[in-house]
Amino acid sequence: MIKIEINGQMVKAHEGDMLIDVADDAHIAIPRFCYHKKLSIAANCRMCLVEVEGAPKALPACATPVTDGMKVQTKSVKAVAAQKSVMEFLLINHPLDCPICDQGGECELQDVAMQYGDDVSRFSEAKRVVADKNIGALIHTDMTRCIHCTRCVRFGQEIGGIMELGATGRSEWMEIGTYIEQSVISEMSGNMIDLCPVGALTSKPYRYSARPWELKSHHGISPHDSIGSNIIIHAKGNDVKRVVPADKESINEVWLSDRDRFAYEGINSEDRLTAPMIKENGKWRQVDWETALQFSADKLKHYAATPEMMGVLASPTATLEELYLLQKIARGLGVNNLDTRLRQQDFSLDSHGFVKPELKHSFAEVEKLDATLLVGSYLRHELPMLNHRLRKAQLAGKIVSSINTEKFEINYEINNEVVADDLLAELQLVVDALEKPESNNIDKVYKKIASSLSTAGKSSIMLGQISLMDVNFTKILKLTSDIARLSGAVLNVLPISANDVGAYMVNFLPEKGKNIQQMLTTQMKAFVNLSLEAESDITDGKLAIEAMRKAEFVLNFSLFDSEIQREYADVLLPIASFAETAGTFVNAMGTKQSFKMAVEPQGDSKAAWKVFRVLGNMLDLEGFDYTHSNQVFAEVLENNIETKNELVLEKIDIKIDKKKSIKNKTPLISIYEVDSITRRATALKTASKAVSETIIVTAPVQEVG
Amino acid sequence: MFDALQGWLSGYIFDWLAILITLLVQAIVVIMPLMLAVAYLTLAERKVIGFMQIRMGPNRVGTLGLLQPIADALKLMNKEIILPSQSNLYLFILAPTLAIAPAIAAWAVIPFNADGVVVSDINAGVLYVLAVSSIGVYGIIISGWASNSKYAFLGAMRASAQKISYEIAMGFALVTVLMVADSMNLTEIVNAQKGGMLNWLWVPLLPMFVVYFISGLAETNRAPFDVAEGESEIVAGFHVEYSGMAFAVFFLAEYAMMILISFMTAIMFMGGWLSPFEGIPLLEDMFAWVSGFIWLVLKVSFLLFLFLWFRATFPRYRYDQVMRLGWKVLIPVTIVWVFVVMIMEYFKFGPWFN
Amino acid sequence: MLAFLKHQFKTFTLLELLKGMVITGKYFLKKKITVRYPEEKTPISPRFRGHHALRRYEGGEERCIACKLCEAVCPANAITIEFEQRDDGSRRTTQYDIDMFKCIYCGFCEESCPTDAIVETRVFEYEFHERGPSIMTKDKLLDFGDKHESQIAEDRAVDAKYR
Repeated sequence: MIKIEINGQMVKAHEGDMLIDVADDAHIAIPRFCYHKKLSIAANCRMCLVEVEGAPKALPACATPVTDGMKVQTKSVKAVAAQKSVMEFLLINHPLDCPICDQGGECELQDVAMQYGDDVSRFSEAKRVVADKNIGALIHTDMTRCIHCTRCVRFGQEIGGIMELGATGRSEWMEIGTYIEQSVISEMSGNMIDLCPVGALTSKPYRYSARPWELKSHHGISPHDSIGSNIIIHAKGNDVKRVVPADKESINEVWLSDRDRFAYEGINSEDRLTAPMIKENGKWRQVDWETALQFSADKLKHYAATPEMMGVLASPTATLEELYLLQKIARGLGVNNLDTRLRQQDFSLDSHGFVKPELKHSFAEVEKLDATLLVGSYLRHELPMLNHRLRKAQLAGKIVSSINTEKFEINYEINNEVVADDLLAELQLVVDALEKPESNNIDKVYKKIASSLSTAGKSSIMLGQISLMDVNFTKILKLTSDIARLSGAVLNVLPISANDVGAYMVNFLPEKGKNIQQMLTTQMKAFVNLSLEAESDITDGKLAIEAMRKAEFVLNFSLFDSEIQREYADVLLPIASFAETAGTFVNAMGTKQSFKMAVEPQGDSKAAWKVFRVLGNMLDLEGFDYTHSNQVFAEVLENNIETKNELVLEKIDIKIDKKKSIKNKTPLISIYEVDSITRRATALKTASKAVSETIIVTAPVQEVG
Repeated sequence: MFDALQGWLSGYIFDWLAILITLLVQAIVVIMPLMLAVAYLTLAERKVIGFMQIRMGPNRVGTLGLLQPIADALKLMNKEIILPSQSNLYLFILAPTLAIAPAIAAWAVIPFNADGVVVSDINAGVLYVLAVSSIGVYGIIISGWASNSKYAFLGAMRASAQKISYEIAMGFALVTVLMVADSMNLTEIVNAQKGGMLNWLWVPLLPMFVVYFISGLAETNRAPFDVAEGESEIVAGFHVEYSGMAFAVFFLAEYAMMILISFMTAIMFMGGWLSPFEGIPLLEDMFAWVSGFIWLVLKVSFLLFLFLWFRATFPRYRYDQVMRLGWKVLIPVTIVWVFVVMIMEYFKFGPWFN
Repeated sequence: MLAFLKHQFKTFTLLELLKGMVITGKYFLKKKITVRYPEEKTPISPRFRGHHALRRYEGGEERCIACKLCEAVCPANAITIEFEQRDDGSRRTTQYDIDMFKCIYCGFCEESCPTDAIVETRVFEYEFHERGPSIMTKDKLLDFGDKHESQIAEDRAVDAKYR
């Protein structure tokens, strides 16, 4: 600890800290553009010049380490003169188009210019003009506004992992751009919009749709992956206008993946179902809620006579409260056919118990994992923020290995990478390498993976979506658990959707009932679906649609209206999206994050938990007298079903079939098509075309010979 | 004059009917011009106050705004009379009646000219006027009570306290007049002042003249003693709940009382219908043709102008100051002056006491 | 003692009151300053804040760029603006309403406008009898601006050096 003096105020600091950090901690404001606490120091904007006693010239606070007894003046004549001069230079070429700039009102340059800028410019020559670049569907550019802070460039290099933007030319001719015409497509590129201190990079979907002072901020939790990124929903009136990240160091730091940032467009989609509808004699009719619910309740009562013939499916993007109430209704009716594992194909473990999807490390711990093995996971697209943490770890010298079905583009170097069609065989080799480290038959790479896991202080195995969707999931699980046991690594079955963990928590599982596969293959009489698009959300969409068509009664709680839904469903009840309801998401680490309603539900749609409450009462079930979603949440916590029979893989005898399975090419879910909302976000749709990916996973096994 | 009418009528019809018709004619002859005078007094007030504020006052309705009072009357007649649901309806309607009746009744004994141009030339005229005009306070108290409104009630309380206080000073001032004139008959009081301007009673009774006029201001609730209305404090005082014609009746009563007080002052202290040039050799002859009634009207007009002038000049008294002025200044002054008059009477002082 | 006597003299002769009456009396006789409005009119400053108008550039392009500063600064919340990107990529209003009943004619909108698009003209002789027409829409405001453009431009020119 050393002591320095800023503006006559004694401040404690660590030796080597940058002056600007020390000043920030002491709440002494120093203007800056290029400095950002999460990025490297560039010291090229010179806005943070301060006077340091003994130094002949003003020094940049962002690049000046503190020393004991240092005396700093941020408001002295010399410092202010330096800052004002820098400001004047910056404003020479900055256009005066604040009135039409989307950044106007939340612009760092604007704010600082209010303090340090002059009323009148002394620059009477022609201003510089830079051609705008088309860098894709997400980010709009106005490059004339750029002040060359290079935050976006450094973001690409340091955080995004892909240097998508760079600077060409020098001085007056310096330009930020992609050099060759191409789109910015990294899964976190949207953060450049936040980073840009001026209006050079702005959000394209948000362009010219609101001004910052009209927006009301609402805290929210992103529902598109199991990270549970904290977001701020900006709404104008009752319209969600944009989503920006909230600072949450333990979860998403200051970043947000593009999926979480731009998916809000889906909420305002024209496809939204806005009124309850029922199908009578093959014709759809709009009805009021009373009628629709009464109709549904009567039908449900009717089919509850044969509870084993009724299936209840829910998307794991539903909130904890919704899942809890729906399972309460189902169990109240005697229905045990509940499932949210829409993507899974191998359920052979169900008779023993249920796999708890969980990340057993906190995100901060992930950064410190000495060795990590990714099994069947395109982590960068599945959980971008977790990938970002892992990238940090790898860059810090930790070891990341992967066993995948395809070589994915990962924005860091995978130390030991195995690409093979048959995950089982590869995993078996790792097991062998662990069991017989001296054996010469085993390829070097497996030995490396094995040794990295077993020698590291902290190591982890993460099973991604490709494993989860694999028809041999059980066997993969068995082999990875063997690896974990032998190497001392922690085995994580990564939850992918926002509430995979929540669904497990509230026991939305086919305990004593049929799982999704059984439901779809046996002839069910009735289905209840919660925010589910069967054709896309379920791995075998065709089978699902077929099963729904055959069912006598299908009740859909849905955000959106669609042709295919109208074909198979009998009742469509419009429910509220994540911005329109209160609820809770349990993220991968098990952190329960509640959020409140940001805007009113669109049209006549209602928050699903309220619908379930009324439906519960209509079905004459006990305990549906909630007045607030908090009460539901409290009840969930009270009846915490964590103690259900935990699956102990070691005790289960799983035969590893040595036979190779035949590969079928099935497209993996695209990064921007994970749920019904993202599928309807137009900007993301355009962006995903640029990403264009067809990833191969193993398809249903067909035994040969 | 009216006796002749009555005599002529009784030649054709029953006596009692003749008397009744005569009375009616008398009432109409007095009340109609009075109401007209009231109407134009409101215009005059707005004009005078406007002029004193370098404005023009109403000038839109008719030439110089001369039709303004008629437009106002039509407006008030067309407006709804709102009856507050929580009020005492019977008293609420009775109150304006009680206010206007005395203001009109008092005119019965006011002489307009020599030779008995008066509705009823009774001996106790002064007493009658005092008695009748005092009844007016009931109208105000009842309106304040019946309105069931705090403002109205406060206004009524203030008005009644004020009226009672100033009546004493007023009465004492009149006592001195009676002492000098030796009569309570208004015609005789005027006749007692014959013999030129200096023979009028304002000269020996100057302080009483002032006290009487000030009390008159207070009696009529005029500025600067309009604490009963006090729009800046209690909105409009006792008549805050009244609208339309009901409000207009209060309005009429107030202005009728103003004119009455002016008449009384002119009669008591300024020689009534007597010419001011009496006894001045040349001028007396020059103005001999001017009727006594004209002189009276001129005097009254001047006094009314004073009413308006005061209103344009002086700010409103605070309520406690009003009471202090009445009880601690005016009443002692009048009592002292009663004794002064007594002494002057004893020594037969000047032309007035003989 | 003398002061006491002086005070009593002043009080009982009502001197101060008479002084006051002399003053009002003088005013009574003075020339009146009333302006007989419809026949006579007071001179109007070029800065007069009357009826609003939206202006155009000489080429006919509307000046308003939908920056919404006037909406933000309006203390009476009288202005409502909706905007979007026009086909040529420029930022334009789709709706520009001023509720003339809410407006307090403070002139902040005019002051905040970066393009001199919204202005308050000299025109103050207009009236509304019901709620609907009191809302001046974009079309109405533009028409109004077109009608009075010469006067508006002249007024801005006169005042230009003080802005």
